[in-house]
This record gives sequence, C-alpha cells and structure tokens, in this order.
Amino acid sequence: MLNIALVGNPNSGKTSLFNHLSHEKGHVGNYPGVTIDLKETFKEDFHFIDLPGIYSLYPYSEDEKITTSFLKEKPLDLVLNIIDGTSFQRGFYLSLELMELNLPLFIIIHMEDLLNSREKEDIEYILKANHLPYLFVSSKTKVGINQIEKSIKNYQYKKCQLPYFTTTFLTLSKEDRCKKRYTYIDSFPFEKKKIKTDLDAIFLHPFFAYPLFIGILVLIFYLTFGSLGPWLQDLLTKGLELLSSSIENSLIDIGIKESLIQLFIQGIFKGITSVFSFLPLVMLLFFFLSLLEDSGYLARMTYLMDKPLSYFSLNGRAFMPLLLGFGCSVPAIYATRNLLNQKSREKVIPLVFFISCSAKIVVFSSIVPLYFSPSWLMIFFLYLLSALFGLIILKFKKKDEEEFFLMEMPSYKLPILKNTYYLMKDKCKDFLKKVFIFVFLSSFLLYLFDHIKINEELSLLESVSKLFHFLFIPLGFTDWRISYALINGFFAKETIISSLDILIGLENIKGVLSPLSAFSFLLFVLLYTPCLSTCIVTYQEMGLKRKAFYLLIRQFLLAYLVSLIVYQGGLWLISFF
Amino acid sequence: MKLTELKKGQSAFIQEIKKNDEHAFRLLELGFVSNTKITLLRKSLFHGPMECLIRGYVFALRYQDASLIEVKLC
Repeated sequence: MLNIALVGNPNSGKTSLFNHLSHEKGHVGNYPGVTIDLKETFKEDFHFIDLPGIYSLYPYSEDEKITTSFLKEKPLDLVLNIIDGTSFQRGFYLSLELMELNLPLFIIIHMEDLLNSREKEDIEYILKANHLPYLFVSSKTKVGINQIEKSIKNYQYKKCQLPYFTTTFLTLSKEDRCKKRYTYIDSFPFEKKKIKTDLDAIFLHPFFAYPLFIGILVLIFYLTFGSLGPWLQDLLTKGLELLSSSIENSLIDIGIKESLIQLFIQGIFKGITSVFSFLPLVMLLFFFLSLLEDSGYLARMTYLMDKPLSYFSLNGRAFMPLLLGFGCSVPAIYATRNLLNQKSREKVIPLVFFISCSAKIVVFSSIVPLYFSPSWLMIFFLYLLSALFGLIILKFKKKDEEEFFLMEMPSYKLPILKNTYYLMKDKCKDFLKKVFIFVFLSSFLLYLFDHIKINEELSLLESVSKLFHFLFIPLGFTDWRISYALINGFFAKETIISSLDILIGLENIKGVLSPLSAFSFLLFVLLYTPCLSTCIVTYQEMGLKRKAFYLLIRQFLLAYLVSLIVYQGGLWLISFF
Repeated sequence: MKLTELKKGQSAFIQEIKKNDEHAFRLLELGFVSNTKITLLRKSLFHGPMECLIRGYVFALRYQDASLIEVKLC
C-alpha cells in the first residue's frame, strides 16, 4: 500500500483531481468550496489523501494547520504536488519547501488547457533543472489524467540538491529564507500571463457592483421560492399524492387491517411526503450556491462584503461560511476553519445561527403562502431580518483589533456541470437521509403517541406536550400541537412541518394560528436554537465548550423574547382599532 | 511611495513591507518580495479593498494593509 498525499495551493484543483483518481470506487464527500479536512480514498494499491490547500508550510489559518501537521508527522511514500500552471511561481514556492523536507515529490501541472507553449517551456525548464518528475494535466480536457497512475507506479525518488539550501540557510530568519527561495525562483526566466479577470470591470465596478450583487441574490431567491421552485414542488406533490392513494388502495385490496393502513398512510407516509416535496427547492438553492462558487463570483462577493463586514470587525472571508449557511449550518460551521484564527471563527459561528438553512425553507414555504403574498418577498424579508439580528448582536460586542484580509481572486470560469452534479447528488443524499431517519422516526412515534389514549379525551402525546405548552401560550401559540411541533423541530427543523401536517393538516393551520400568531411563529422558527446536528458541531468547533452552551441557550431566549414582544405588542396595537 | 498611492493601472516595484508580523510574512510567502512588479488593478469606494496583479495572479488586499507596502514606480 502506497500512501500518497495531494498537496497544493488552495484552488489549484486538488479536489477535482482527487475526484478523478477516486472516481470508480472511492467515496468523495465534500462540502462546496474549500476542502477543510482530510479526505481519503483507497484504490488498488494506492491510498490517496486530499489535504486542505496551503500556500506554505507555515500555517496561517486553521485548515492550513491540518495539512502542515499531517505532512510533518505522517510517513508518506509520495507527495503529489499539484501546481496551478497559471500561477506557477507561487505553487513552486511550496514545492521548494517540500523539497527542503526531503519529501518524495511528483509535480502535477494542472490547468494545462490554459497554458501556451511558451509558458509550458518555461515551466519544464525549471522542473528539469531541479530533477523533478512532472506531468501536465487538465481536468477539463482530460489531458494527462490517465497517465497519473502509471507515473506513480514508475516513480523513483531522486534527491535534489537545492543550490541555496546550505547549512547557513537554516540559521536565517524565516523572512530571509522566504526571500532566498524567491530569489532562486526569479533566477529562472518566466513569462507571466495575466489571468482572466476582465469581468471584474463589471462585477467589481465602484457603483454598479453592489446593485448587481443584491440583484443576483434577489434573483436566486425569486427563482428558488417564487417561480421555478414552487412549480417543481407542485409537480412532485401531485405525483406523491397519486402514489399515496394508489398505495392506500392496493393495501386495502390485500386486506390489511384498517388501523395499520392509517398508521402507514396518515402517519409515516404523510410525514415523509410533506417534507420530501421540498427537495426541488433545496436542490435549487444548492445548485445556485455551487454556480456562484464555481464561476468565481463568490470570491468577488467576499471582496465586496469586506468593507461592510469590517464595521462588525469581521472581514470579507466571513461571507463564504455565512452564504453556505443558507444551505446547511453544519458545513457552514466547518467552513469557518478557512478563517484566520479561532477568535474570528468564534465571532462567525454564532452568526451562522442567524442564517436560515434549507431545512427552514420547508417551514417558511409551507406557512408563508397561507398568510402573505407574494410569499417569496416575505421569505426574503425574513432572511434579511434574521441576518440583521445577528449583526446587531455582533455590534454590541466590544470592538477588537482590525482583521487582516487577503484573498486570491480566481479567474472567471464557466461552471462544469459534472462538478455541480456531484455536489447536488451529495446534497440530495444528505436531504433524503435526514428525511428518512428523522422525519420517518418522528412521524412514526408521533402518530403512535397521538393514538395511544390515556383516557377517552386525552392522548399520551397531548398530556406530555401540555407539560411545556404553557411556555408557548404568551407567544400566541394557543394550540398545544404547535408547541409540540416546535419542540420536535429541535431535532431537525423539517419535522416541524411533518408533525403539523400529521397532527393538524397543513390546510387547517389557518384555523389554529391567527395572522399575528403565524408571524410570531415564523419569527420563532427563524431565530430559535438550531437543530441537534448543528448543536453538536458547534460544541465540537468552539474552543470553550461552556461558550457553546451559552450561545445555544442565548439563541432560544432571543427567539422567545422577539416572538413575545411581537405577539404581545401586536395584540396591544390591534386593541386600538 | 505607498502601494495605495498608485493610480488604477499603474505598475511599480515592491521595495519593502513596513511591518514585521505574521500577516507581512504571509505576503512575502505569496511573492510580495522586493523588486517584484506589482500592478494596481482596481480600487473600491470608501477605502475598501483593492485588487492587484502580482506574478500573474490577482490578490485583493485591504487598504490599510496595502498602505504598508512601499513601492517605486517603474
């Protein structure tokens, strides 16, 4: 078994190569954007390890620490050093550092399709001078992809003596060592071509950039919640209803007991379908997020958001995890590893709680259209409101030192559909897994407990729910079933809707929630404690565990307070008319 | 002069980074060493971040950090 690590600069295409290498058997699970943890795959005699991108062996952010400590501690048979050919010098700087450690290197020059013959000659000249084996590869045109494994098999390590790497070199300061390496790199002729950033003239235009930015976000919301999404959802719902009734009929035909059919159809099946029908909306959102990222616009959003976020002593990099939070809080919290240090991470993690994840889509798109129109605008307003709450809370914190912001701007690219497809497939799996585990279980138990009677009037579910129901009455949720759904939602937000659908029926919601209490309900769902998985990840990723508890409790109290004020204040206002 | 004093599209050679902390070191590691050519591509309003081209790649820097980079017009 050969241990092979993939090492290279961030955004040099390690992950797409890793996907190629592991394509047949290997499991590739990745969050959109940065690789923030080790990923590995076994294939024949190879053990490939994909590491988060690094610029140098002096770690700077949290995810870089993972890579550098891995390289220094684990014995490796080969390092596949991936260099983006369009930014060769910076990539080669890392190769020099790896060579100084005597690691067996094989160089892969990625993005071959973007290089002209002159640039290739320059690159080949440097690599040959340093006796480094290499291969030009493009994951777009597939050049060289199939030769990688053969090259690995034929690989033989040759030690190379770097001319600047003398005994005195090691006594120099790290700054001077860095300068020496660049002097060495600059001693080779190199023609530099500018990467494609022409579109920045539009997307980063001093005046039009922000309207465009907001326009793009509004368009995504409109397509997801206003037109395309609901249309697809409608189709799916109709299909599921047909399926449900045909299953019910065939079950009756076989002669299965009525109560069992009811448990299956009115309990489990109803619960699952009420959530499952939101699959198109969730998929659309992830689709747009991946388009933003793959096209290179996400990096521009970071650039544009740096100044606004600096008022909250954050920097532009915080925007990426926050945007991911619209998909799911769990990857968003992991993505904060991309930030400089633990301190800035702990500023961003609580902010993620204020970003409504795709599970809340299920709640908002079920409830909002019953009361408000146009519903997509109301949903947009809710999202905005919650982000505002988060920022206001951050503003109350005492201001600390300004953060440093340095961000590489990738070139604009047409997104590769295959890549998007991989991502969507993973997200789809995650969503289905959640539906079938959490929603299945909660629907089953819910139906059961609702039908176990303590006495003629009272079901077991109702009697238990009433223990905490009094807490929710001041918020305008007079029906105990609403309170129950909210508690259930702590495990997974989707179950709020599946339980409401089973207990009350979505079409009857209007009977138990007045418009004012519906608004209070939406605010409560918007703000209250995130789901169990998010709580666990928060606990893992916060330095002080105590602080994680504090944050989660604070979140609940905040939601409670806001709903209370809105509902009671609303009642008070209404009393004047 | 400072990097921030360049006009849009102007190029200059880096002289030194007038700071000695981990951020300055990161800039060195990315190739911001003396005698490297740097081109200012874009500034933004209200002293927001600026984009510059160095060694064929584009970086965005904060205004305050860019003002620590001493350059000489080519």
